Amino acid sequence: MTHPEELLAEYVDGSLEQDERAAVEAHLAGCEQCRDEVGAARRVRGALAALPEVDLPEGFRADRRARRVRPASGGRHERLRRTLVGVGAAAASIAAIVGVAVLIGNGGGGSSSPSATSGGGVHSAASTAYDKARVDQLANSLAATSTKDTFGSENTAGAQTRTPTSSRVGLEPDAPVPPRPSVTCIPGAGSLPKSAHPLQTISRATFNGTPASIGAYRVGHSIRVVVASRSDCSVLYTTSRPLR
Amino acid sequence: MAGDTPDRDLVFRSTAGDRFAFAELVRRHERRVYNLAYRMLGREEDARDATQDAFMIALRKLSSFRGDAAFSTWMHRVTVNACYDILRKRKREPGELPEEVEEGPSHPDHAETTALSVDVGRALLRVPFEFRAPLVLHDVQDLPYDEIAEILGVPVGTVKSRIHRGRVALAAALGERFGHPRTSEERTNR
Repeated sequence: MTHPEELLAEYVDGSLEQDERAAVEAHLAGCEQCRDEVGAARRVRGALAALPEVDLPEGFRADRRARRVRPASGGRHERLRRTLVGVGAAAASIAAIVGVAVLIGNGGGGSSSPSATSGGGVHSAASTAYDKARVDQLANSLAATSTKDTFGSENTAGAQTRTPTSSRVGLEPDAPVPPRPSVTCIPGAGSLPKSAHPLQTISRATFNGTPASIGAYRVGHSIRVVVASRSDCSVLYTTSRPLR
Repeated sequence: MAGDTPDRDLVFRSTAGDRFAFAELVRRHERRVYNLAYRMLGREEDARDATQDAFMIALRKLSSFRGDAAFSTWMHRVTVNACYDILRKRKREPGELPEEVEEGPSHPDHAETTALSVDVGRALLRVPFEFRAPLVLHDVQDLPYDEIAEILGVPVGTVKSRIHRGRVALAAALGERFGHPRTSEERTNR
């Protein structure tokens, strides 16, 4: 015998239409097991409805863990943050990386054009104006928050460049760079050694008002940041920091 | 923050980085979330963890919440999943009674209701997880079947049959209290 379990829940709730109720009652007339179950279900239903609502514990902050999160605004922040956590960055690094994210481009929906996502990191139309001090700050932050192990082979932040030729910028300086309307040169291309590991690229920035691209790389045990003019790809500024 | 700002607007502002908007969302939903977690998990410590996890996950995933469902529906789902993760982490089979379940007041002179609630709360933890969630959502939190179906991502018919099975399992776990000498025969889970 099949038992109309779906209907039995509603039967106990008293929410069945008349014809369905009649059908259930016909079944119950011939099924002791279901009669027992309906009786039991009725009793517990009352007990469950009488369960008191519990108060939040004294001093409990429901958002305590949420407070450490920056709201995801499209995934880039989250990808960068999670990658670093995933490969073992210290908890303190997260705050610093978030700080870097603020530095590079404030959160809240980076509005970079799709073709500009040639590198990892965070883009924002709002704060891409750089000067020497700000580039130095970027280099300092990256050096402080990365360890030799942080940017390993699993690092997607570093490997987000979409050049089909290679994920290592500068590896083959004469390889054709696919035309991208908003980027005319890869910062540091040709001037970086083969082992350079790209960390972040800001394709559309300004440096002291000049249209520029900024690339941050790990080169051996150092962080190097290269600022290149977007018009003629000359290097406007470069700086490096040793990793701790 | 106006108390009548719709959840949808608070969600939108939260994704734009407005932390006050998110704080308001938390204020509105924390009690329900905590109660759901408490009834699912049975221990204050676990309920605290699940609640804080749920809001953290919600904030992180907020941009992927499209808003075609109600925020509270989505938040319930996040909470149920957070509860499940807590149970898995503690390596207990859902449905197995945790040894450290809280001993509530059960003095003879307490009101019958109070002692019964403690028993029901503890017996709930013996109900298999997949029955317990719809049971709590429907019989404790008064949510309608179709919303529960949305929360759990299962058909409405499945919700209804699990609620029935959950009630039967709960009654069996409470066996003596209802003076039911023989327990119901165990049926296979659906």
